[in-house]
Amino acid sequence: MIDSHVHILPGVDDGARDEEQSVYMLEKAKADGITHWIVTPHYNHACSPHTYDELKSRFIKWAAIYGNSHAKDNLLFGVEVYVDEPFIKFLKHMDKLPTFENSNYMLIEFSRAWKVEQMLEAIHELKIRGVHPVIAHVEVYPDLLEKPENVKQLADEGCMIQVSASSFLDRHYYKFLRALIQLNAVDIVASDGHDVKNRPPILSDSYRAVTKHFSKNWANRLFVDAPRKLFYGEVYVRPHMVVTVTKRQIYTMGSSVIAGLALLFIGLGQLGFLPGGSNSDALNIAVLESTEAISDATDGGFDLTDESIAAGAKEEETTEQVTVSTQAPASTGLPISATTSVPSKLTYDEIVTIHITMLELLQSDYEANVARIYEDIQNARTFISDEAKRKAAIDGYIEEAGALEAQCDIEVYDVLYKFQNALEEFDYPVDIIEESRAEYHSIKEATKQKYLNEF
Amino acid sequence: MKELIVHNTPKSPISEAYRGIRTNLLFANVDHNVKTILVSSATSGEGKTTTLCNVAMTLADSNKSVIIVDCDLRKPRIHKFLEISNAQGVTDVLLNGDHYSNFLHKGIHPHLHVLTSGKIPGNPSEILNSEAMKSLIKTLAADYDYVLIDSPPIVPVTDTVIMSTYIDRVLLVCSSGNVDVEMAKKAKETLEKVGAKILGVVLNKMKMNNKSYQYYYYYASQKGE
Repeated sequence: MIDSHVHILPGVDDGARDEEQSVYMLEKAKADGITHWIVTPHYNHACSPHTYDELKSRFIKWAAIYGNSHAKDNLLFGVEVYVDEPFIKFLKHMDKLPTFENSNYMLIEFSRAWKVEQMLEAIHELKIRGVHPVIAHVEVYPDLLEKPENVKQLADEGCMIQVSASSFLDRHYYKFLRALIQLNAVDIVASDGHDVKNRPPILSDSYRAVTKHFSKNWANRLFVDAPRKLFYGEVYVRPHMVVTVTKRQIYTMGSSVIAGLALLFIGLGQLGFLPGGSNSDALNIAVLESTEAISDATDGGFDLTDESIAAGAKEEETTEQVTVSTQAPASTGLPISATTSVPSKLTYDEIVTIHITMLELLQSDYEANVARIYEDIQNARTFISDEAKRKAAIDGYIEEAGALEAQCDIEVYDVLYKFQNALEEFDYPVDIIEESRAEYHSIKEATKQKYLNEF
Repeated sequence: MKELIVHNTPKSPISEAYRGIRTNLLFANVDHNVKTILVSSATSGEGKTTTLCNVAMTLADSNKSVIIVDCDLRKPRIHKFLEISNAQGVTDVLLNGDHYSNFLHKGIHPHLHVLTSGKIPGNPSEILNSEAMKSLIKTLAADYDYVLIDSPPIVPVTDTVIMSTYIDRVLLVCSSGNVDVEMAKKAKETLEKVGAKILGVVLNKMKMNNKSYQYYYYYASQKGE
């Protein structure tokens, strides 16, 4: 494996303290199965006052000693640039930009407080100068973490999106990373290793996690293919997401969104009869299970994508088209001519994926809201001793839940409406809408009944 | 610069339409008293920036010295459209008192200069209503034949209406079939209320499937041989 972001150069930043630690990190990474490193000390960062040339000469000295004994010609020099306002203004005076030494890739990070608009402006400035930005650890920015669509914007602007390996092991980031994968807005995983303990320079655990939660082909794409392009300075083109979803799978995906919602209602309905502590755990597990079901369902599609990548860029297109045209008539009844004659327009599968993702984002909002309401009810039951007051409080929350349901109707319908319009625009069949809507209705009705019974 | 149609496909019917706008503009200005032109529209996404840049190119082609100023301090787009830097621009001139010539982009056309917006400020309306802004426009009007100003949409924000009080003429871009007629009327009324003079209306995104427009294509394809 190739690690494309590691602070292993000793004594220049907040990474490896001295040569001893740096060697220790190398050993550990090697034992983990990493063979190539892009060494990326901080640059223009509060913790590193060094110039690009200073860093580079240090790297050359260091690589001469350790490169030979540990990894011949397996070290590449780059820097992690802290992009701020002064740096942007200074760009026009720079003769050589701090990119990787063999390419125009530039690993960048921003202030944690930056909004996506500022990032887009900064990226514009880099792109017009021929830089291909790679945004490090996108999960640390609140404006991106809260809205995965923002990462999609950055990806569409032509940036490579990098995520730290350790985040795939952290449940806190699971939902975010899943959204990125579904939006096809993540390109590369790196360790961002700083030391041996807190931020170790290893990848294999995360590789396994990605294989387990998403698919082996996604893991290869994130940990092997993209880093290789970066290391050898080759042009990276984000693979199309050819999710060849069969009708059955679409149905499972669509209904699992709604089922997830129903599950939530049911799960929460039971809350009233369970003690406080274990409720949220039970709920989380239920949600996690349902999300895993979704990712399992999509695995088949990603497999095909990755096979076509392996087949090489030129063959990729033909593979894609064959995939679509052979799968389509049998499974979705997709008109072949529609997908093959105009390759630039959105495919049926892309439209479906986009809208299902939107539905899922809605779902996660509701999850949070419903969870809050039920927590409130639970608290009211526990803490309000006066019966009349308690009843009034609980009635208020139930009313709120009703309002939430109405809101849910509006928003789901809105998405379904746009979904249908998008499909109609390209003359795709729209049966899926009717199915989703019917499914949504029946489940909602059943849930409502159950919900009322519980109370 | 993929949308700079006049530059990329000078013989296309669309380029011809832009040159038509230029001709009308020059005829409307026989006394040479219209120097500063604000390009705006009722709502967003109607094609302000595209129209502005293409008209600016045709004006520059006819040997007029032209400057494009991006005064859309909410969602500036000129730099994206022309693929140039926006590290510094109008706001640096206004807030730091630097001379505008330090921030010009000149590489696009010999007669065309561009001043991008610069960093987006927190209070665009106040900045656009400042004395510094008015004097900048005055200086530009003295230095160039035409000053074309990009601005935010009229209905949602007041920026354009504020600017229209000290700018010679407003060119209104209306996207065909996209903008509500009432919306366009409201934009016009808002402008007239403050005494702004509307130079004309550009009907944009016109669907060319009507038979009577076929002539243009026919003519262009003949000429384009």
